[in-house]
Amino acid sequence: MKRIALNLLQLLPGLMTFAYSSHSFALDDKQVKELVLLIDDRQRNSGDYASTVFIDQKEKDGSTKAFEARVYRRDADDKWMILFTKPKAEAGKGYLRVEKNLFLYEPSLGKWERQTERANIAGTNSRRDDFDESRLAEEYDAKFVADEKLGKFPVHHLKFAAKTGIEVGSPQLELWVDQESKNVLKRQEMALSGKLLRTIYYPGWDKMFSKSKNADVYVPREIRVFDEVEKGNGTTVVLRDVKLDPLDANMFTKAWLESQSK
Amino acid sequence: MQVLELSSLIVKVAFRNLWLYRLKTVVIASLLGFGSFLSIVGLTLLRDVEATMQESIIGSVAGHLQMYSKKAKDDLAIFGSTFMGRQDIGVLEDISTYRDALLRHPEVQAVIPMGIDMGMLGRGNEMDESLDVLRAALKGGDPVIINERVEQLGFQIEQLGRELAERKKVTQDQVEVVKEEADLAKVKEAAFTESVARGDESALQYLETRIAPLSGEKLPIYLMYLGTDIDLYRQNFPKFRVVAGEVLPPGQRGIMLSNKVREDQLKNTAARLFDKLNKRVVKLKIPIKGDAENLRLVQDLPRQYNQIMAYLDRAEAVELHESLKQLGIPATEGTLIAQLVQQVKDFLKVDDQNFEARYRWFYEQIAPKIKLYEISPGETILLRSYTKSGYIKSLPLKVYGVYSFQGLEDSDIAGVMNIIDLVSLRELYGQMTESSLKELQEMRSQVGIKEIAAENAEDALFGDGAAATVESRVEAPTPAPQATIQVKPVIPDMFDVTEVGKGLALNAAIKLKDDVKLQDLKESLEKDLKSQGLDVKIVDWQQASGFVGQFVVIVRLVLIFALGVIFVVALVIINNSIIVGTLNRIREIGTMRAIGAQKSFVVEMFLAETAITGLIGSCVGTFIALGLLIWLGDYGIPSSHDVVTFLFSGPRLYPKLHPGIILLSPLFVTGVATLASVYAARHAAHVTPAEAMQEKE
Repeated sequence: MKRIALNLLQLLPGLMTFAYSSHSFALDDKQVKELVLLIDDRQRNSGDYASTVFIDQKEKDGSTKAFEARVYRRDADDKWMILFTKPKAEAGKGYLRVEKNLFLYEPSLGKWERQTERANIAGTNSRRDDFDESRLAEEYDAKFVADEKLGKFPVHHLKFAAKTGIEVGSPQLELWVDQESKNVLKRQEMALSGKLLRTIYYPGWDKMFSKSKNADVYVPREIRVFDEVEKGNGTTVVLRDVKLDPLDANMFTKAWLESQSK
Repeated sequence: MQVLELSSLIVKVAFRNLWLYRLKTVVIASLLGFGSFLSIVGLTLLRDVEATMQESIIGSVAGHLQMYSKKAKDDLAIFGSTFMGRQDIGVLEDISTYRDALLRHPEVQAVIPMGIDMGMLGRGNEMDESLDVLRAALKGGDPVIINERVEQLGFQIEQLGRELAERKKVTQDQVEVVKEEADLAKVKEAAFTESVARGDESALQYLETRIAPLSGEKLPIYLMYLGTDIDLYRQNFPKFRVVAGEVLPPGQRGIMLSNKVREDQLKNTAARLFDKLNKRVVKLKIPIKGDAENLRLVQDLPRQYNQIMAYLDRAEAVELHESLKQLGIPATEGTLIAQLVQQVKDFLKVDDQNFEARYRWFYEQIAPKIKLYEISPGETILLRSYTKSGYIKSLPLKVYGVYSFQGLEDSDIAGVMNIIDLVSLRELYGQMTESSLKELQEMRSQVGIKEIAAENAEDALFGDGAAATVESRVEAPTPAPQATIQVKPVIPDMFDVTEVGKGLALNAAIKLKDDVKLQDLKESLEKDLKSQGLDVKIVDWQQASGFVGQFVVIVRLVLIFALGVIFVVALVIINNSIIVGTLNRIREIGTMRAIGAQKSFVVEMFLAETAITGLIGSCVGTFIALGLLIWLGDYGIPSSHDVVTFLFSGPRLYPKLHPGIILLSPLFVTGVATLASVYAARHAAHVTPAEAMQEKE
């Protein structure tokens, strides 16, 4: 569950397409800023969002766990919902966030639990804020490192350091952005000391048109997370059935979530 | 014959000298007497505490020996180690293999599989509970019950209004309070109440998201649990007693709460403070006035008025208001809530004069109206725990009963553990069953995930063999209604009883038929298991109990150190006194030597003096120690602290007389003192008649 929460951070944002010309030379500060704003802007989707996610976790000791869940988001009302569908033992469990409240549903008891604003998601290091959209430009100072090749793809390598006084999940991170499509292909997160914590790959993106945004939105197809501290631990997240159309007005309620497991 | 005569002469001379230098004799005898007293009392208490502690630990959780994996990163510490955090003691993959191998040893009576971990219970505030009850009533559809619940909610909202008004007077964040007042004003409207009674989802959600948080947050409860084979456990741990509800039936998922945990963590705070005061004021007879702890509890009690108010409905509030008036606690002016709050606060103000009456009144009149315990037998709780991989796993568990350990009812250490069935422990630990592994494989094959290692992830994902593009256009599919999930979580209440006898355990208690030499046995068991390919660590009860077991080691070291200091002081004094005595007695020694006394005679004379002093002092010390121990054996040493209660295996320790300690201690003290005076005695024997004559001159 811990990894689920962490990885949902990576999959919730929808990335928007943007006409941006391709370059294969070093970026100056202005271009870096524009690129970062673009990455942030791609994640903003003012409309509703729904998808099915599959999360597969493998530990170095051989233990393994997988979940399938449906994720629903309505940014306009600051609401979101996660409903676990597989495996059977977890099916029907869910989280519902409405304003400052996070409710956890346990279908075997038919009971809800309201967690505090400060509570971590599923008791992990993830906070509710982690599920909000990315704010790279607001939270980090970015600088260009080099133009490199990631496999066969030419990429811009960027380095980010958290701005003073802003609390962020990763004090330092690096991104490798595809020069052609401007999609993030690789992300590395570091501790304040510079110690590498996680490497995340985004091998595929789907581009979809959002009516509410009246623009294209980019959504990762698959996310591969490798733990750099506990070597051998890894998580794969796969997204399916992404929908950007308006969801039912009454969806973000306890009654709706309860009704899903009857 | 000559030897006897010589010995008799030495003793006579020694007695004469002791009398002659009686002050010195008294000082040395007192010191050695104190040494004997201390060693007899200290060693007796230490042996008794070891025995009672052994009884506590062996009879409650640990058994004689504990077994866990050799691959463990941490040492097993059943009652917690000095380091915080979760212990990693590895796993025993299939307990049946270990059990079968161990039961072949004639000394082994039983092998009880176990696992200890920490879980968490989330909980909402009183308003959350009321809203849950209201939702249940709405689902039930009975209009009478619905109206009752809505009325109860209205009463709570009124109380919230009063609390908010109080908060407004003191808070700096006026903007927030004004916003909250507006929220409250909305829900007080008749139209809103009607929509709540109709079950309008948006009205209910408004109450849950805007109003319930105003009642404050309750911290989660952390519960330590021991997963085990409950039948085997009961047979082998005789201190286990059910105090409420029933025993967790074999083959059923469930939990038995520790009575101590229930009283200390799950009881209404006002009741808990009353209980603590009752124990101190009535049972231990410590007056409130002048006792800092009692005064602190007394000051805290009126602050808990809301722990009573929050559970009352209007009818109960009216009834309590009248009862308190009859008790002589008048109401001031204002609304019913304002009056009752003042009355309850006044009722909770206790002193030495009114405490006993108020305590009784609380349990007779108030306790039946409030929720005394957050969890009671018959309810089902949702226990949440981290699996070994760091996920959170939650399991619904029925509370079957409440238990305690006989004689250890007041011990926090013994009462820290709640007991669950072993199958639930395995799930909370994150063990996958065959069917769950199969389900996982099916899920993976449906999604079609390719396995990639971290080392070659970049090549596999972005290399030449990878997809030509990382981007593709997907036309937004036509929205289709999501299919309802028809499957409820599959968590059966029951399991096959044979399941607990095989499969995973984290550790296991080994009960022996008789008290045997644990050290020899554990080594032989370890060796035997290893020869069968089962690599485990086997530790005795003391080692397994963690910091509690180390307590006796520390006490023993302190005692040995204290005895050592006394001995050193005594020996220095003895040596000095002999050497100084020699200087004083040069003429006497010289004369003895001149009339034919051998050096050995002088040495023996001095040794005899020390031995006689030691014997007299030790005997006096021994008699005093005996008297004290006999008296303590009748009256007992009261436990002043929870840890001590656990060490005493009850509220008092009744020391026993151990003949070995009583006989050997004075002999040991005398012997050591005599041997230690050899050097000084030899020094005295070197005095010559010539020196004695010079002394004379």
